[in-house]
Amino acid sequence: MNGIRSVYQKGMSIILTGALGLILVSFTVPDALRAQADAEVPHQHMWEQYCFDCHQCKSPTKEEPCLKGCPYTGVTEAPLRSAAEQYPDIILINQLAELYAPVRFTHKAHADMSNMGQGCAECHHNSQSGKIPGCGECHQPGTDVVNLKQPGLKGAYHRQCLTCHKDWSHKNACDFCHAPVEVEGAGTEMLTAIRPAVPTPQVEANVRFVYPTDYAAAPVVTFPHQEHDRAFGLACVDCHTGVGCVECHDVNRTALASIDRTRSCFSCHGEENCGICHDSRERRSTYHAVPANWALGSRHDKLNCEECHGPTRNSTTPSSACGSCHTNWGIGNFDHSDAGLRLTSGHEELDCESCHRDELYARQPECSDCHDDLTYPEYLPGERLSN
Amino acid sequence: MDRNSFLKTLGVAGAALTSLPSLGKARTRVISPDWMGMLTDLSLCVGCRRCEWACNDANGLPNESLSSFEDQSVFDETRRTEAYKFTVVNRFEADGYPKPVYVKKQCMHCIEPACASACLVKAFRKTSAGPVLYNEDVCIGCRYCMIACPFHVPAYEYSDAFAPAVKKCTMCFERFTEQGEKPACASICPQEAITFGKRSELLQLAREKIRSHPDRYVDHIYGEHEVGGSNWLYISPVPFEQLGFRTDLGETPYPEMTRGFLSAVPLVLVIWPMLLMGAYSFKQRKQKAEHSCTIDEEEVS
Repeated sequence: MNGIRSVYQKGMSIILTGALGLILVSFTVPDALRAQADAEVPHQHMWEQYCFDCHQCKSPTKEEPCLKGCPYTGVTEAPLRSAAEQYPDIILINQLAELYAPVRFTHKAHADMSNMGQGCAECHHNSQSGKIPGCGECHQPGTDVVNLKQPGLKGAYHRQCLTCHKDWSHKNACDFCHAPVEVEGAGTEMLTAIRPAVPTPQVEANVRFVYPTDYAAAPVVTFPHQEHDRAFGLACVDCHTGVGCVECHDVNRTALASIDRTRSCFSCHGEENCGICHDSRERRSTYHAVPANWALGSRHDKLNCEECHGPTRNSTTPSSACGSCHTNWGIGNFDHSDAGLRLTSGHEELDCESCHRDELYARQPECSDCHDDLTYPEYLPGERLSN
Repeated sequence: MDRNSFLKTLGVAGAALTSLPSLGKARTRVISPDWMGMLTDLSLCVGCRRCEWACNDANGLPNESLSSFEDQSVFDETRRTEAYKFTVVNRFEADGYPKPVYVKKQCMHCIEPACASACLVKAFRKTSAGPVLYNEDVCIGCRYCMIACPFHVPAYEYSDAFAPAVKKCTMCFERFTEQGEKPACASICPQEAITFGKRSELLQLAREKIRSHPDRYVDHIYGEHEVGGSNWLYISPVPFEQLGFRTDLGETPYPEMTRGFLSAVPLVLVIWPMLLMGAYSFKQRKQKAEHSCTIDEEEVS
C-alpha cells in the first residue's frame, strides 16, 4: 500500500512540477517569439499584400466593404500626354467659393508643364482608362464630411496646388490663387482676366558634363549634354522623366538645377569602341571631331544640327565643301579675314578655286601652286590676323 | 508528498500565477473605441495659420483679420500656447528635409491626463467623448496643472486680476457634440492636414498612410503611446525630436507614477491617526480603569 502511495505521490509531484514549469515558461516566452507565432497564421502575409490594396479594414462585408478612395485600384491609367483639344484650357473652380472668389485655374498651361513629370497622372491620380475624372467626381465638397478614406474637395484641391506652388515660391499667401470676395468686383475681374504669367527661373541645359571613371587607360568621360540635345532634337523630358517642378523652378535657385541622370549612356550607346566616350582628358569641342572627323569651329559650333544635317535622328552627312551650304560665297561675298587672313596684293580679287584647288578648304594652299619662287608660310597672300 | 508539502506547492504555483502577469505587463488602461481624436499630418501642413484664426474665432478669443495671419515673421521664434492662443503653429527646419515643417501645437488630450491627476479639486476631467475639459468654477488657481503637463499646454490668465482661469484647447467639445461639426481647426484647414475622427480609426488611418508611403513618413505615430497615449495624434516626414516634440517622455502615464504614493496618502492620513488615536484612547481607558481600581482597593482597604 505504502509502495503504491509513494508512486502516486511521486507521480503527482512530477505532474505538479511540470505544470508549474509550463505555466512559468508560458509567462516568460519573449514577445518576439509570440509575434512570430502570430505571423504564422495561414495567409496572413497574403492578406497584408493584396487585400489591403483595396480594403481598409480587416473584415470587409458586402454591406461594409470599407473600400479605399474612389476609384482606387492601385493602377493609374491616365495618359502621359493628351491631345491638346481633348483637355480644357481654363477651369473655373467655384464649388467652394466662400471666403474667396472662384479660382481661375489655367488647366492647359499646367497640363503642358506636367509633361516633365507623370503627365496627366501627376494630378489625376488613381484614374482609370477612358475619360479622366475631375477632382469633384470623387472628392466631396463640404467641411462636415467625415471621410477618413479620402480628403474632401477642399483638401484635394489645395494638396494638388500647394504641393508644387509652395515648393518653388516658398510662399503660402492665399491671394496667389484666390481673390478675396470682400474686394468689390474682384470675383468678376477674376472671371474675365487671366492673371499675368508668373515668371519662373530660366532653365538652361548644361553645356557638358565631365565624369571621372575607373577605366585607367582613359579615365575621363566628357558628356556633351547640349550637343546631344541639338543633335538628336531632345527635349528635357526625353531623358529626365519623373522630375518634379521644384527641381528646376525655384525662386531661390541661383545656380542651375542638378537633376540626376535618369537615362544612362548605354540606353542609346551599345558596346562600342571605348574611345567614343573615354579619353585621357576633358574634351572641349571634340565631340563632333571624333565621330565626324571634322572639328566644329567657333561659328559652326553655334548652329543647330538640323541646319547642316537636315531633320535629325536620320542624319545625313553633309559635304565638307563650303559651297554645298554657302552657295553664295564668291568674290566680294566672302570676308576672308574670318579665316584669320586678310587677303592683299590682288589676292582678294581671285576666285576661291584659284587657291583652294579641288574645294579642299581644310588644306592650306601652297604658294608654289601658282608662284615658282615663293614658299608658304615664308610669304603670305595677305596679312595674318591675330585671331 | 504529504498534505503540507502539497498545499505548499499549490500555494507557490498560485502566487506565481497571480504575480507573474502583473510583473510583465503594465496596468491595462481602458481605451474607449468611441473616443474622438485628431490626427495631424505634418507632411501636409503649409503653415498658413488658418487654424489659429479659426480657433480664436470659435472660442471667442481676441482675433485679427484672416489676412494678418499670413504674416510669416511669427515663425522666427518658437511660440507656445497662451491664455488667448489655444493653438500655435511653429516652423522647424529638419536635417535632410528640403522644406520647412510646420507643427501645430495644442492640448494633446491625454488618455490619462497629468493635469487632471495633479488638480486638487478635480477641475479637469477626461470626458467619455475624448477631450480633456476644465471647469473654471471649481479651480482654485494653484496652477499645478501647468507644472504637471508634459507638453506645457495649459496657460493662465495672468491678465485677469479678479477671476483668472486656466486656458487650453477643448477640441471644440461643444461644437462636435452639440452642433455635429468638426473642430474649428480641422474645418478650416485648406490642406485637410488635421483629420477629426474616432481615435481608433485615426490610428488605423495613420498606420495605413505610413504603410503606403514609407518614403513620406517616419514610422512613428506620436501620441499613440507617449505618456500612455493621447487623443491627438501626429504623423511626420522627419523624426519627431527634430520638430520640438519631446521623445523622452516614456510610455507610462504620468498619473501612474504617483498613483502608488497618492493612494497611500488617505491610508496614512486617515487610517493611521484613527488607529493610533484608538490605541491611545484604549490605553488611556485601561490606565484609567486600572487607576480607579487601585483607588477602589485603597478605599476598601
